[in-house]
Amino acid sequence: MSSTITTTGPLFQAGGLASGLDTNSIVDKIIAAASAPMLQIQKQQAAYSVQISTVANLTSKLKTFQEATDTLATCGLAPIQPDSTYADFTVTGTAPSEGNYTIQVDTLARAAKMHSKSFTSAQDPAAVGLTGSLQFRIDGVTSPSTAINITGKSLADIAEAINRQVSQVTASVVSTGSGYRLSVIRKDTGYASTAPTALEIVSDPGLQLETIQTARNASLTFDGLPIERQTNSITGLIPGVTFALRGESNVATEVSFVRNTSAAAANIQSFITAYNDVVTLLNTQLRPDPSQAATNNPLAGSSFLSLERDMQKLVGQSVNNSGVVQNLSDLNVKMQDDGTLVLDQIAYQKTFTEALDADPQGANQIFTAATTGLGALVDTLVARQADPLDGALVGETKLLKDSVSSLDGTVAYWQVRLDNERARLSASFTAMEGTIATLNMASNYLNAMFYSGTSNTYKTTSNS
Amino acid sequence: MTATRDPWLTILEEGAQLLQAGNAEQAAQALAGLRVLCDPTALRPCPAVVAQARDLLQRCFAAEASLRQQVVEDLNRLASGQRTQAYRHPAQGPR
Repeated sequence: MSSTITTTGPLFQAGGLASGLDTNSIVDKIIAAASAPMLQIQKQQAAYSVQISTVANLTSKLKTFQEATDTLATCGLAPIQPDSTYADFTVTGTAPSEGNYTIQVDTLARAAKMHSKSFTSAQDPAAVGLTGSLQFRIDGVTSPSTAINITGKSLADIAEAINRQVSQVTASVVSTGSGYRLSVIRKDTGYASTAPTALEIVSDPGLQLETIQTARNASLTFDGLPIERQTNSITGLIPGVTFALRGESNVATEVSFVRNTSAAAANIQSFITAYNDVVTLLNTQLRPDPSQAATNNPLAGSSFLSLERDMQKLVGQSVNNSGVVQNLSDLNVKMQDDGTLVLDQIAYQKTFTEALDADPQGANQIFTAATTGLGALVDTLVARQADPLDGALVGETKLLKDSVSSLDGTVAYWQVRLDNERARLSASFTAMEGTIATLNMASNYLNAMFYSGTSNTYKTTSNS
Repeated sequence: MTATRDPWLTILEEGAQLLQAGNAEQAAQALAGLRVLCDPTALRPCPAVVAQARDLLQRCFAAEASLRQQVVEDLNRLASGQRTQAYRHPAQGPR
């Protein structure tokens, strides 16, 4: 009999099941071919994963763009800042106008501190051996909830209880080498009314807490005026400017606030770069390179189109209704054919600098204006896209992740189906291999009987 | 005395029927009984049984070849795209 089955171009051709065919290999190949739909699904999952990554990348670029814009929205394109640095204080923020000021730091603010008497152990309650309640009065106020029962407590336990119950102070145990003392320090520097009232003891069962440093306010002389504050961070002298005091002096320092135009080009370039990063990524998704079709997994949903339109609107936004500089275009920022921005280098030295010099306030306003400036507009745009609750990109990511999860179920279904098919195929092949081997053996035996005619055992039989 | 059917013929006939019905695994199980009969120490069949057994054997070969062709076709259908419904276990019977 023929044991060869030949068809045109099939994957599997059997030349005889009992002739040494590697049926396991055959089954593997058949299953591999039958796995194609599942592999297609897994490929789709991989594509979704790429898209999820793209959305995450876009979200990251949007946030970078927001940060770049926020920097300009805080200080403006050409901020008015000190022209130097100073030993006794640092200056942050931007002033509303150029000008000179004199500052002398007379005293730095400091916090009230107390120490207890010395004890022999920090951890042993017996070393303290006191009963009763410890209570503080802070800024003249005694809160009943801050009474601390120190009965049976070690020094460390008392420090822990103070930290838990009295939010205005920090308590710790200080090792002096010859003993242990409880240290209590006000978190805030300075005082509201008088120095002693910053931190007082109402009741002390025997810790003998004593003030080792009284609270002190910062005092300085600003343009000849005496100024006092509870902290070393001084605001309210120049709108938008903070002085952080760090040293005392007996001489006045002159601070000059001048418009910093030298950094303006770099500042606006950082904005342009961050803007272009977003637009370039959008371009790769909305207008993918056809030559890369095999590896492209573009996201071209309406949310991306909407974001692209919103980005373009930013550039045309007129913030100021009058003046030389009303929008980005007046600063010579141009949009190119692919939607990216460029600071016109040809006319840059003339137009940008001239515009800035002619209308520095307008140039700043483009970024700093409260609701119509680019800072506010970009904040709104990024929130619309990346808000954790209802941002468009967050929604897009959720949809993609849901798709991946739903395909997980399909993949699992296919895997079970393929496993079952593999088992059935293996069983069939094994059975047929066994069958034909048995039949061959019986055939050989019967042929020998038939041709030799030497059957010497007569057996009872019945005709069928 | 009741005439009993020779085990050669009984086994081969059952095997042929099972193969024709597409039951590859049950056929393999049934035909495995022939191995005992082929043992050199077993009683040899008479010429009449040998002649009938050879005829039944040809039926078995033909049925097995047909079943194998069907399985191979199923496998190729499975591999070539009509996968979801293509494969039928021989025990499910012919289409």
